[in-house]
Amino acid sequence: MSTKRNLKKSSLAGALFVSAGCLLLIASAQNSAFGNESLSERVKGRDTSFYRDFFDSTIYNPFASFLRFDELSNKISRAKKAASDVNLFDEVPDSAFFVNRHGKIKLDQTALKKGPEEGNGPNVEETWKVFKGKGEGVSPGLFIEDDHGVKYILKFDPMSNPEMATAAEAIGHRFFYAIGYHVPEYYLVDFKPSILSVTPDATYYDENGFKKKLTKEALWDLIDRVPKRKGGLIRASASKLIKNSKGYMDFDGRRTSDPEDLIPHGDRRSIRALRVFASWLNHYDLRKGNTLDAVETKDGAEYLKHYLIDFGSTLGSAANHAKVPVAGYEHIVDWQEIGKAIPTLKMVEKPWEKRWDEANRTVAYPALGYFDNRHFNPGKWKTQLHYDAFKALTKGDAFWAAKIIMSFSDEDIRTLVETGGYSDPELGRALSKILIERRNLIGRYWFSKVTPLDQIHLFHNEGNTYEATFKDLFTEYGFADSASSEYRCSLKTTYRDSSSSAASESKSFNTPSFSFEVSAPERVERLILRVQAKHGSSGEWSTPPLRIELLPDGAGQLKLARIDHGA
Amino acid sequence: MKLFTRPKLRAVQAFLLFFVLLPSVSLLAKEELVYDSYTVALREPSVLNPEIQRTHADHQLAARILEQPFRPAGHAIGKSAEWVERHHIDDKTIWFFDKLALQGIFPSLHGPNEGSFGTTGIKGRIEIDRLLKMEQRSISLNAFGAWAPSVHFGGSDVYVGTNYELTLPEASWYHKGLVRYARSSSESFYGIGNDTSRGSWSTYQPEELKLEGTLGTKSIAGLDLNSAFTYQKMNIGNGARPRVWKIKNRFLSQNIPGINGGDLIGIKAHLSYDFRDRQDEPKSGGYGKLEIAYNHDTGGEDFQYLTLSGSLAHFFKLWSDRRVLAFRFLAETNQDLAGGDVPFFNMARLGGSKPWAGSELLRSYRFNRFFDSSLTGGSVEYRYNVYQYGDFGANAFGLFDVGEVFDGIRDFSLGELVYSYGGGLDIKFRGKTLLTLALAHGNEGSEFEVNSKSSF
Repeated sequence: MSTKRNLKKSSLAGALFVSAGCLLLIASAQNSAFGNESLSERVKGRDTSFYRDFFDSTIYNPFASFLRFDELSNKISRAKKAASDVNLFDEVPDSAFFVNRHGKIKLDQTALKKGPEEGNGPNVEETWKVFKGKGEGVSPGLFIEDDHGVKYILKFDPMSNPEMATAAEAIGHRFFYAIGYHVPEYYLVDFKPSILSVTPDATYYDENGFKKKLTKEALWDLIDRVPKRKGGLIRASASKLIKNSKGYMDFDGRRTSDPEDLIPHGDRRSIRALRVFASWLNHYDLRKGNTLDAVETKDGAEYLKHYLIDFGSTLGSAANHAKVPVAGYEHIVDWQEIGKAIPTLKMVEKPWEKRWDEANRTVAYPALGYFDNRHFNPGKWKTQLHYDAFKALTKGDAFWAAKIIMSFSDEDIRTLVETGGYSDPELGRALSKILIERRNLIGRYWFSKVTPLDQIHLFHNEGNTYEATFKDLFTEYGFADSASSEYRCSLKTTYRDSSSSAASESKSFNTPSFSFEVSAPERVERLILRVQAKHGSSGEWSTPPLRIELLPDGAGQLKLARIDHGA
Repeated sequence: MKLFTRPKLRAVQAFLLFFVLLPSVSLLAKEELVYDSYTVALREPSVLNPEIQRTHADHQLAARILEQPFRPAGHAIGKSAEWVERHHIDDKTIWFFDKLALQGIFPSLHGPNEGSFGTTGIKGRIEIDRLLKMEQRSISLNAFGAWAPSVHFGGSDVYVGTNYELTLPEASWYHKGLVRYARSSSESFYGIGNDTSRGSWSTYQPEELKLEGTLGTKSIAGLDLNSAFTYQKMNIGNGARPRVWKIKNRFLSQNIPGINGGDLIGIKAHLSYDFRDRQDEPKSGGYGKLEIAYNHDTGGEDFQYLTLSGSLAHFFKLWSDRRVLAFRFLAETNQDLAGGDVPFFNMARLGGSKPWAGSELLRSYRFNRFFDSSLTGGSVEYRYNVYQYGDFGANAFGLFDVGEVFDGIRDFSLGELVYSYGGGLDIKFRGKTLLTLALAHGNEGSEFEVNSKSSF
């Protein structure tokens, strides 16, 4: 009996060992299989859909996470890995995923309004050829080609919420562009339906899911179901189709067919921090189905560019209706929240329920959808589907994102909201107010989780004295009074020719600069400054401390080598 | 020409000293150690080494070795979900059922009353007047039927029937007729009384033909008063469930009335009300009924009895419609007349989680666990919302059922009440129950039930 059991055990172990070996071999073979193919040939197209994303995110991954030793050990230790796409100074260098824009050099009002636009969009005075009906997603749409052969997808507002989805798309994509993400060009258009002509081979899916020939009658039937403006005009968002697309981008793993895609996406700050940016713009439908990879050329070389697409579910919009009250508070199936709700017997209402009740369970402005800040908690905001990359967000990642968000002034926000083209200016004002308030909530929240000092400058004074200056973002943005703010710094020096290191007492100061003296700089191997801030008389010293690392520059001086706000 | 007088010269010298020279000296002494904060140099440059990433990927694969056998299934299901969406199978399915509904055909899933956990069959209703496009609005004619397999013992539950309703235009009066045939391969019977043993578990096969004619009136306020004439023919055979007693073997020596079936006629009067705020997932209001019936045997048996029954259910919001306290109380007595008997198949029954199938709620006990002439029982549920996302929602509930069967009113004893307690989850779409899961515990252990209807 016992021999049999042992035999079974060893067979199982053997099978597992052989499987592991095979899988490793296959993986290695895949990785070394790049030949002389061009990137366009090498990177194959791939598809996903909401149902698939839903299944993976809600059912498969939560189940599989119990079988993944790496995830289990992270869960047990509650350790968070620092992002890998971060440079020496805690910034994210430009890449095919992210380009520093407004956070680096402020875009002016014209640039903010322009966003990713390279042209003027489809001309409403010309004829648009409809070559396909939109077959995916929740909002109705049409694929068109203008007189210049440029292709767009037109998306409309739901009848119950005129201007809502199109404005969300116009505003949302410009914000994401200014933040630094790659997004397609979107244009708001008001057009007469008579400029639409149907190509002979155009097809569409009717409301019952059957693929049919798109006739003039079918087109008019579709047009009948979208809201009309004065003079029979139809408002739509026209999104320029991205050429050479290769399907969605994963929020974890890598696209191994792209030799440049070396950092697992879940380890990228630019991907993790999407959670913070999405919380600002209420982009609850941020999922891999709403991303797109495309092969593009720069300086004669092909590279894979990673786009975010589809912003119709930002702000208060859920594309074909106003956002449901729970959006942003829970995942679509939030096992954790359900698990918490069962034993608590509903003794206390959830924040989003309270808010919905306070609003008498009605949406005040149909064109804005359902969007406010009453119970908004930046640390708890959630996308519709769960992604591990968003869960992996560290305080340092969130600080970086919050810093970019705070770089948008009130005026910048008003300018971007204007691009939504609301017919009632009051709506624009209301939305700007929400976004300004939300920006501050995010800034205050995430800045309080780290030592929020930025723009570090290091000066060498006479002799062995150095001076560091910084901006305290907490006081800079008015979250605390600079007069009641205090800082302290400790210094740890490691010497080259000695195994010992010297640590200084921490020194307190009230201004955003401090001096320190380095003894025997020629012998220094490394010098680490740990700076903390305290805001308000009753405040506590910030943690983790800001870590500034200085190394010898080879000419007898020290240079700033590394800045870290902590994981 | 003198440009400056002496005092002016001193002032210029002082200006130069304080505002130009000293700052210049100071600037010369203070040198900024510039750096490019957006440098491409990564904190951990090794992440850009393909070899290291490959090793990292290999380690990850090894750490996820246990997941690998499930990946093909996960991939296949994910791909299938994508295929369903891409080909609009969901829309087509809704269209198909809408089309059927327009024709008056309403199919749905149907589970057997007992056994075969996890298996399901089908049931359907056809509105014949709609199918035949009859313009007459005062007549409705339906046919219905259901079939559910019992895979554990190779049998099935089946019923078919038809009914019609005539309503007088502009009046509240109506007349209804019903013909129904039902057969089940196996239903459980443990004997009569509150103290029967689970060791007496036996199986019988009921086969019933029922005719009913009703005349009644309905008020807008939800009141319904009617009287009906009924005919019932019941055949009883041994059930198909293996490894349990057969009713005619186990209870051969006991005088179980109706063990050989019976033919009965009866009349009844019925009063009911329904003030629920909504039929599905009520938050307030309630419903109830009161019924009195006389039944008499038309065959060789000696059945003659009077049935009195009543039930009421009420729902109370607890400061929010997300918390509801639901009560249900019921009582039934079948009193034999002139020395007649009450057939066991028409006795009050208690046990299980399907009151709509004839056995009242006592969820930690098996279906049909107790039979007797009379019954009293009640249920309390605290229902509270634990999930809501658009049209989808789920309520959790805590439950407490209590009940007792007894012969006559004098036999009722508080000490013999049996009870169940537990909880469950009600999964809903647009307020309609899709699935109810309930786990209850009592003196005879625990039972877990899955149904497609909420309990009451």
